[in-house]
Amino acid sequence: MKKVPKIWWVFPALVLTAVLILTFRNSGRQDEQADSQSPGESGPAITFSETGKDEVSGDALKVDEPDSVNRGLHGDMLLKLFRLTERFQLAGNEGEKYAIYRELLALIQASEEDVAASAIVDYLRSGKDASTGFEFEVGPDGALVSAPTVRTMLLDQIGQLDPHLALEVSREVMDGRTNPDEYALGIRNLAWFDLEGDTHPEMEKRFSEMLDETSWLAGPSTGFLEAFDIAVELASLKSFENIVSVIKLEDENGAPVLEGVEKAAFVAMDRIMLRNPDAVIETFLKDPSLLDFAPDHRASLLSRLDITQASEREAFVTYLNRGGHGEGELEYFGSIFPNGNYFYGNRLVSSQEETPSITTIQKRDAETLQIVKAMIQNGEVTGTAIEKIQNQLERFVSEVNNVTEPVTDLQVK
Amino acid sequence: MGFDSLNEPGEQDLLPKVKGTTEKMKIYGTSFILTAALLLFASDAQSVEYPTRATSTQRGYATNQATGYVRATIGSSAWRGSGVVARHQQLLYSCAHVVWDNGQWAPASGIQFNRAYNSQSRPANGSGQGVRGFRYFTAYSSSASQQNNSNRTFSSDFVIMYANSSLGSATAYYATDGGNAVLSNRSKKLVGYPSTIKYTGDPGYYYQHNTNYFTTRASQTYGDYFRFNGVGSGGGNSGGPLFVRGTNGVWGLAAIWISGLPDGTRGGVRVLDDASYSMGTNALETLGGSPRIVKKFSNRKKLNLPDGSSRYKFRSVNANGFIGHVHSIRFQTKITTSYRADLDVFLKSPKGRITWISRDKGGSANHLKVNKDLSGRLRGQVANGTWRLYMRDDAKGDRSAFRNFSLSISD
Repeated sequence: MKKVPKIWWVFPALVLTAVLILTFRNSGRQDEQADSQSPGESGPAITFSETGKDEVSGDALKVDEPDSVNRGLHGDMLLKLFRLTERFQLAGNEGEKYAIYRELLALIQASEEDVAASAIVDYLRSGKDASTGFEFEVGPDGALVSAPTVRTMLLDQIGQLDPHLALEVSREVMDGRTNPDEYALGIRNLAWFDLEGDTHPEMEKRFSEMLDETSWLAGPSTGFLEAFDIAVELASLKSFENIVSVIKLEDENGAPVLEGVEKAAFVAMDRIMLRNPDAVIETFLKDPSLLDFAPDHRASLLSRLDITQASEREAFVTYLNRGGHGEGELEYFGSIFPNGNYFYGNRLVSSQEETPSITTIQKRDAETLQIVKAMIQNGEVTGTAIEKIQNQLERFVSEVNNVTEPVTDLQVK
Repeated sequence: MGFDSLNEPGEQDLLPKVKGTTEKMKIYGTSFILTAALLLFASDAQSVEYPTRATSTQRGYATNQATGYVRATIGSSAWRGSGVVARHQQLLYSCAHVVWDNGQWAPASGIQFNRAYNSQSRPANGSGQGVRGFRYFTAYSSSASQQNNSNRTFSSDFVIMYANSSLGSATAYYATDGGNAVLSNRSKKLVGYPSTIKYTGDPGYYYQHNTNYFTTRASQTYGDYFRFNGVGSGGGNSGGPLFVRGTNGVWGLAAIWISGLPDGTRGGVRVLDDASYSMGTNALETLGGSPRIVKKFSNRKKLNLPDGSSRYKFRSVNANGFIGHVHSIRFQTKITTSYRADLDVFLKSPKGRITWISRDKGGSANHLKVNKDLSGRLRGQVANGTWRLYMRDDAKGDRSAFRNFSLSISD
């Protein structure tokens, strides 16, 4: 019998050592940080692309199929949803969860819409759930790119499958008020059901009730914050005042209670100002101490005033003349008025505002400059802020020298 | 019993034959230690592409004329970063955290751009060109307290500044699909103004730096945030361009530098996409020679709707050829009926968004004819893909039939 050489163990030992060394070296990696910011944690490398089913010419549903077939399909689908839930609960790592998530999406997309929708309703009523390990991430059309739980994922999906059933089950979810991310999707489905404002009264009520949940305010989830978009969609006096009341809450030391909510509130107020400046102006003129607790935010908000409009001009004069400004507030206001910055983003409900072009802003700056000059001349407004604004506008107007060459777009394939 | 014979006859020796246990152990042990040492050294000596000064004679690169130093004031603090003029002479691309303080939630003022700056000394205040404003991509939830995943914030970390006049005649081309560009093995180059090169600790001062050309492929980390292993820079390079060479040999701006590991061995970028394309187009409007794409899509295949059915039928159009998101969209449809309130009709976008057109309205009027501007409802949505019109006649007694629908879209 052939003898095995006694040195056989050397090479496996070397390979094992190499593996151990490389594993040890890689485990000490540091976190990524912005090149001018503090470090943060890394998250899952996830992308979700749609695997839409093939286009069928004309019919969404097999209208002539007997109900017994659909009931069978429904039961089958529901069972699969439960099984996928169990697999999520047992999944050990991100890779596994990702695969299950994709499977769940594929299952829904491969099913008939009415079958999927009714199975989802029964699932949501069952109370079952599992964490997916992913974030609440809003896509460009308000549908989710990823969801943190099976329930939120299905609430998102039913909003796209059957608006009637989505509304019915969303109302149940909102009535229950057990989970802020689910509530956010519920109110989104309600908003998507709107036709010419008929759901606006309920949207106001539901948004207000959402803000009443103090535990949600204290530790706001991503979905909860994204639902501030409802206030923008409404762009009403009431929704604006609701937001102001929320961020006004202070603790016994005068510090804002709700720092996590502050940015969502600020973005929402800013967009409401763009969509319905009358709502903000009415609030401000009724109570000029509006946002006394956040003077920079007030300055930023009011820097959007278009003083070529009479009502907004009145607010501008009132603001500058009233006194009681925060430290540095007018200095800041003078440096950003008139505000030429605009937000873009992926939102649950509201569409993107039509942001003015460069030439539109230039025209407005020229008109504004004339009004400001007249205000200074007739003593309507005095002080360093208005002078700073005049200087800034003069610079903007003098700079205008547009380039009309075509853009340089490039297809890099 | 010893180790006198390691091999059977005919078997080749892998190691020199030695006599005696001690000497054999010495050889095995030495080989083991040497191998371990080589592996340790190999894993330490990873190669990193990092930028050096643009006018270095070793590199021989000229200062990139489209890239410049960006300075912004937020509150009492001044922030520095990099930016690049791309697509049009009045557009300056950079990252949002250079012009927006997530702590104060306030926009910067006094933004200055010094194009192709290259000096040990900081540019004098007021020496650069001012910008009029910026368009900033953000989410309601990307606040500091929600940053349990900074990659989410990096994915949104993008801004386009705009000016009232030219920011410089050298303008970088704009790659319309930044994601694919960075995922490719095409030549790439990073440019910017790092204050310190993390990998070496060298000070960057206010010199423009750039890397060698490299072909490293990025990997997608989160949304529009991609990472490069083995490519690093330093603080201050934020907002600097990542150029990629196109198929025709032309260089295009594909992404904006956002982040890096503290040891400088890896970096992240925010790629340009359809949303950023729309942001720029909206600012330019006609200045860029009308870059908007305008197309109409129609479906005229007649469809009888079952009378008194709870189920929907649909007709669809496949929109394609757009680069940006929806800017304007006009919807038209005709559904014949003798009782309009029987009809429920909604439009579904390619990404699933539902927009109602009619629902139990119109009473006993004939037909549903709609010619409506839906821009206020759908601006900013993805334009390409299948748009579906869902319809049903949910009350018995009157026949309804779909005749046509069309969408006129511009991006």
